[in-house]
Amino acid sequence: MRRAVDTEAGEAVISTSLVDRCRRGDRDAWRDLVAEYSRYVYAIIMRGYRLPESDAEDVFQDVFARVFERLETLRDDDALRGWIAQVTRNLCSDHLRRAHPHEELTEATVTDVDDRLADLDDALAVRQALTRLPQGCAEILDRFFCRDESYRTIGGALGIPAGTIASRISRCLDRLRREMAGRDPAAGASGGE
Amino acid sequence: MDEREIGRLLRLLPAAPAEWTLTAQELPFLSAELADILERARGDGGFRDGLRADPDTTLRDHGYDLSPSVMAHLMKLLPEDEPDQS
Repeated sequence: MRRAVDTEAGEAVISTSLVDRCRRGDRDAWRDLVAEYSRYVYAIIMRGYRLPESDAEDVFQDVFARVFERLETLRDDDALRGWIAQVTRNLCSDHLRRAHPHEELTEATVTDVDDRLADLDDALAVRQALTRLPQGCAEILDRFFCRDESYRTIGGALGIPAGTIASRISRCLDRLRREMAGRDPAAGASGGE
Repeated sequence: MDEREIGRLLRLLPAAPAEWTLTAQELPFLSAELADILERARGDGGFRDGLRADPDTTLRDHGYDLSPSVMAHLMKLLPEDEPDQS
């Protein structure tokens, strides 16, 4: 969340973080935060706890309302992801207890949820790295992996020869891996695929 | 991480419904407005009936400008059987 920037004097200072801007009531920052974590929260609710869609939206809205209300209590901005996950888990559990008051959340259930959530944490890291790629790269990977589009469809939509899609995907995957490893000197320099 | 694993992880996080995300982005800044509307709905049967029949027009006529997604959320919060206190 925080980004170190160099001043002329060579000192590293922490730029205003997204969380700080949200705390100050910055609407654009809040929009960005929700956009960044909406997939994650949605996945915890739907895949982690498997709530029915009819209940899921209420929990989804409650999660973000609570996050907004309690951002002041978050001591370490870098803990945002874990905190949002915990808020979501608590509200999902509360919901299940209300919906099924006579059923205990068993240890096995909790372990299942833990296993599924560990996967989602990895998934979020990949997704966040994807959003830091140049737009063209992010789009081509999203279309191929998430939307299961064919080379022909992707080529048609992006105005790129279908025969070059495979090599572009390969290059973009390399960039994504570098981004995940936290070292992508090319990212941002060329403006993307 | 190989290509297959990256693809699997990317597919684990489908987009949340756009309406849900839009609502979550707007709600914190509308809490006073929503509380005002709900308070009014509790105390004014005509307003409450109007909201149920035609929320868009009713809200606009009373000076509220809510997006469709927030309006849909509001309708869920609307009291079902509140007595008319007006």
